[in-house]
Amino acid sequence: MSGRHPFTLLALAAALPALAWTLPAPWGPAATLIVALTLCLPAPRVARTAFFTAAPFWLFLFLLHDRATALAIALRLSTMIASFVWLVAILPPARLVEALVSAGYSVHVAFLFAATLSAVPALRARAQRIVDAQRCRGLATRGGPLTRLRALRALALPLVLSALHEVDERALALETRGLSAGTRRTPLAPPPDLWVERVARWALVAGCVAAIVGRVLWRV
Amino acid sequence: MLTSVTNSLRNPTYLPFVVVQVLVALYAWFAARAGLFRNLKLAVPAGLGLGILAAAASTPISYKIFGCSTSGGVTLMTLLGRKLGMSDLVACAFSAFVSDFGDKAVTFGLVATVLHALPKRTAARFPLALRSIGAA
Repeated sequence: MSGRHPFTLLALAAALPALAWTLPAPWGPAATLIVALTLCLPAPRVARTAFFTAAPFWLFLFLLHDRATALAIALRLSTMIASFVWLVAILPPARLVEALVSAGYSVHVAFLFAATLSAVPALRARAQRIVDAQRCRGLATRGGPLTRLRALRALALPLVLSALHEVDERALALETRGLSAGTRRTPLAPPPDLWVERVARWALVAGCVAAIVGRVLWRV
Repeated sequence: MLTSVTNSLRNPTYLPFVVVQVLVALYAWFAARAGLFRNLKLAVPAGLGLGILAAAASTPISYKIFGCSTSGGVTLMTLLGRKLGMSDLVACAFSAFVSDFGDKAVTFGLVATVLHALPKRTAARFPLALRSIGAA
């Protein structure tokens, strides 16, 4: 599946939760969950991540609701979690940017999307480095709520300052590479978009619309 | 909004709350323009106000999509609300208020502290940051 066009992967990951919420429970969401899990299963790490993200919801839902309601919501949430976890694992941001650019989207939009995606792990790693550095300097980051609250300032300020510094560096790097030149860029390796995939994407959209219309009109 | 959507790719449970994130961003923008980060006495109550708004906006989403099971703490507070005789929706709102109230007040307090601690040269590049702390 990783060789498929990024838009096809996005369409599939969006259609599964949409169908899970639209089709009647429990069989509709159960079917979409089976499809989502089938996509995840070839990569055990992806399946594990999906399982550990979804498992707490099952516990909480069965604590809060009767069996039928809990099962319906849990199946729908698990479909959403499994399909998005699969999408993130299978679709590198750089490939998505190439697809967006080759589809005619502005390079600014494409970069903004990719930069936001890559910012989360980068900030997380930096925050961990700052925590380690401050603890080496004697900052107490563990203990009661007041101790943690006091430590927040010493952790947040360097994180914000270093993020601002990196934004400056990135802006300069992008400027020197002509991002703001305003000319259309040529993607280096545009992902192939076969007609079969385009048809499949439209079929997914049509399937979702049909499911929604069917649910609204006939209360299926 | 873009951040919320892209973050949803990492943790899909954020996705249904995109609308709440937009409201939070708008509220923070108004708070900054109104200079509510001038000191903690203003920032913390403004955060509490955001807590009320965020809880009110997130309750229907949490109730309809997650069945009030967004986290262990929320589940426990919903169970507590039910034991106190509240209906499902009211118990869900109760748990949302409890979790959002303190959370947003601490966040606003932290933002005010960070804004005041920014070096002047850095802060000068962001007019809204200066305005939010009453320096412009």
